[in-house]
Amino acid sequence: MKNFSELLVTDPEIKVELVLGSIIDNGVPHVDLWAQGRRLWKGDLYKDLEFETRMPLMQLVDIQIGMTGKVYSTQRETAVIIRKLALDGFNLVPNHAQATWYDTDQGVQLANFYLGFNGVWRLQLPEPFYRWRHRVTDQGWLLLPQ
Amino acid sequence: MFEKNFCSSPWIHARINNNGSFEYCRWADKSQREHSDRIQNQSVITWFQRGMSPIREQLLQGHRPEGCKPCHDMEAHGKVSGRQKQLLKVGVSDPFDKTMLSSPWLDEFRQAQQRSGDTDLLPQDWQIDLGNYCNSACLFCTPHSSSRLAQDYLRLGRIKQLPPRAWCDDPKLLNEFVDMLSRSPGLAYLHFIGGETMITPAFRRILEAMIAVGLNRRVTIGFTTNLTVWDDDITELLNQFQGVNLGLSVECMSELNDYLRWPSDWPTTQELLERWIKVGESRSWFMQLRVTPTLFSIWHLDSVYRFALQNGLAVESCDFLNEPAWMRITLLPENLRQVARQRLLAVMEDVPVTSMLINTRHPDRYREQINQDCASYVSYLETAPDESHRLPELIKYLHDMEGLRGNSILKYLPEYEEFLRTAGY
Repeated sequence: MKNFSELLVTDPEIKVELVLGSIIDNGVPHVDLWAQGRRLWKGDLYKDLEFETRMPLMQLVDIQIGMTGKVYSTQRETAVIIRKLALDGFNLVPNHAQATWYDTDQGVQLANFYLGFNGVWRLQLPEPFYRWRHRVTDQGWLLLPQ
Repeated sequence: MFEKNFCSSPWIHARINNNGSFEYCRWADKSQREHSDRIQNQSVITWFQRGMSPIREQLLQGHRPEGCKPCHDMEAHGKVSGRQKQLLKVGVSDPFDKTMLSSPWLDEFRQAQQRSGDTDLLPQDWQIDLGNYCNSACLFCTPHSSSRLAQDYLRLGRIKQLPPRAWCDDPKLLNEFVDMLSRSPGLAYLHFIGGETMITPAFRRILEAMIAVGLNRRVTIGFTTNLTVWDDDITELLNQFQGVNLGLSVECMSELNDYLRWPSDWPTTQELLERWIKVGESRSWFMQLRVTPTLFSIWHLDSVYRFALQNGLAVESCDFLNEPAWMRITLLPENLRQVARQRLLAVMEDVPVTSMLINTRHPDRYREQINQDCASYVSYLETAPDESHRLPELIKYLHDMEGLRGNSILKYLPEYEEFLRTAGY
């Protein structure tokens, strides 16, 4: 682009890539996947699935994965594993679980990428992605106009 | 191209020079310095909000202001430039378009475009030149930045008069400036330069004034010291600030440093270096070794990088040396450039690098920063155009300065004998 005006008329988006895997030793987990308030997929997660979507640059990232159908057993496991969650190629797995939380039917709130309980896992960034990325990758000061 | 030319610095930063003139950037080419407005005859606020408008407009239009050449030269050699650092402070990095559109400053850029470059902001980052009062007369310095060297130049007839007194010697102007700082809502960083800041009275006065109005709680102070003086009172004042970026000036870890940073003595330099490092570590200050690589010090620049690696410090130089022109690395012949390159490449082999580091002040990433800085000098040695036509100026300068000081570069760099003798030394 030649100047600031040309930049302003662009409307870039953020590419969201998600790869979900599962452990099905004790049954298949049922998954309800939402991104930016829209359902991306709902179904039984027998094997790894890849998803891709796009979102507006300045919209706050909001990804939700509901897991149901797990029968708890100490012998055999059922789980959903978030193998990849990348925003414009920046993979949050495994180092950025701090931006997630997980409400489970066991009353436990965990921040990670392993869904081992029935419940709703959520990623909600508190600010636009690239500002958040600046902070969590230690890029130093982010001055604000005053 | 907009991405290559745009810089956020004129929205967040300004500089005041020794003579009180304003400048739009600490890295900007100095050639316009004598013509700009001054604190003696114009309000700082008016100058920043209106006087700098043409620069902001040029940048928004995708042009490259003439004074921005130093940063572009740095980028050409892989050295992190002031432009890149200032962009990062407003959240702009890679990818440029998306991080610009995501920047908290986008509306400020937009408003400036609508108002012919005008802004209602005040700087959050200042470069404050406090005059040239200095006890050192470094060979690669200028009278503008060293009162002691200015005396030498006057004696040698290289200048007709001493530089004028610094703006900050006038208490009224100093009070006016501090008052402006106290009314700057987003003030974050003040970088001071001399002369030798530790012995410049205005440095202490400004620190005290800022503490008195509570600015110390949110402002980081940056300054560089020449490792010849110590002042407990100043270090205690600094300790009251939100953060300190401490620059420790050294050219090489040997007695060649004495020749270049005359009249320092190596044992004292080492002792003060250790002392500052100890104080800085105890107070979690960010510390850097500050170098000004010249055609002489480049030979042993590797020693500085190695010391820094051993002590967990970063190494930084402002830019590739511009003045005095006869001290530039580009005067070296190819055979000497090659040896200097090899020495630096040996440092880089010890320090892996994964990706470009723009936040060169991250305390845990000093190894990457060193590799990157080292690599920029390797590139510069390899590709910067030859300026051997300046050798007569260098020889004349050495003759003049060594005549005053009673020393000789060949005592410290015998490897340069053939090169210098051929040039007339």
